[in-house]
Amino acid sequence: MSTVETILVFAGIPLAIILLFAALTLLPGRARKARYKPGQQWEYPPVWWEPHPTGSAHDGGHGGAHALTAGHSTATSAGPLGGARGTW
Amino acid sequence: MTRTIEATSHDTATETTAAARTDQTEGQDSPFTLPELSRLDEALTMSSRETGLRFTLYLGDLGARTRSRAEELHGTSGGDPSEAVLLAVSPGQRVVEVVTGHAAARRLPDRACALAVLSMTNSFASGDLVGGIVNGLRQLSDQAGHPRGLHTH
Repeated sequence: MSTVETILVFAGIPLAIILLFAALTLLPGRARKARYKPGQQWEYPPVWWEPHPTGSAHDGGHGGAHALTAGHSTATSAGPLGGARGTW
Repeated sequence: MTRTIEATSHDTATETTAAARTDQTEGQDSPFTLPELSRLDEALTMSSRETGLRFTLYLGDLGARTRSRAEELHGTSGGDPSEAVLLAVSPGQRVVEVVTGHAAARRLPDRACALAVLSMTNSFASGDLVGGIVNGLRQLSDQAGHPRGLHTH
């Protein structure tokens, strides 16, 4: 067995196997979005999600297609607001 | 069901904040993947159906005065504001606000909201936005309970 053959068998084949497994593990995660890290900038547009209308329980059953508008509106709540606030 | 908002009184409205954005584009500029979005969707819908309250989730900048901005958003969240619960998360400012209307506050006292906020901020601090929101919604809806006379199915 010549030197070239030795290198091919004992270095080339293990390297090929390692590269194959590296590709199999790293490539599927490539498409995933970057995970949020605390403190990073938030550059996405503001989004407001609302629950699916139940049809009869809420009055918004048929008006589900319009976008919510933030800002001054006539709808104001009639009582004191509760809630909580937190930072991280 | 993703809604972008038109912020009229606030400077977060950019040219990308057009109201015409629909579900087809949410794969590109949404911070979440589709499975994550469906988790959020399910959590919002299920907690609203279980409790009869109206949970909405706002994700974005809240401006300098986060509390008043969140309360302003709560007033315009659609439906009956007194029964609405707004969960406003601003990852850029690292602030989460929970606003409950006065009818919702009877079933969701401030202490319960604070507990849910605490668990949410724990998850957010470790980078898990969706998990924190889903768990927070679950805690809030567990606390609010299921009113008698509400038929969910």
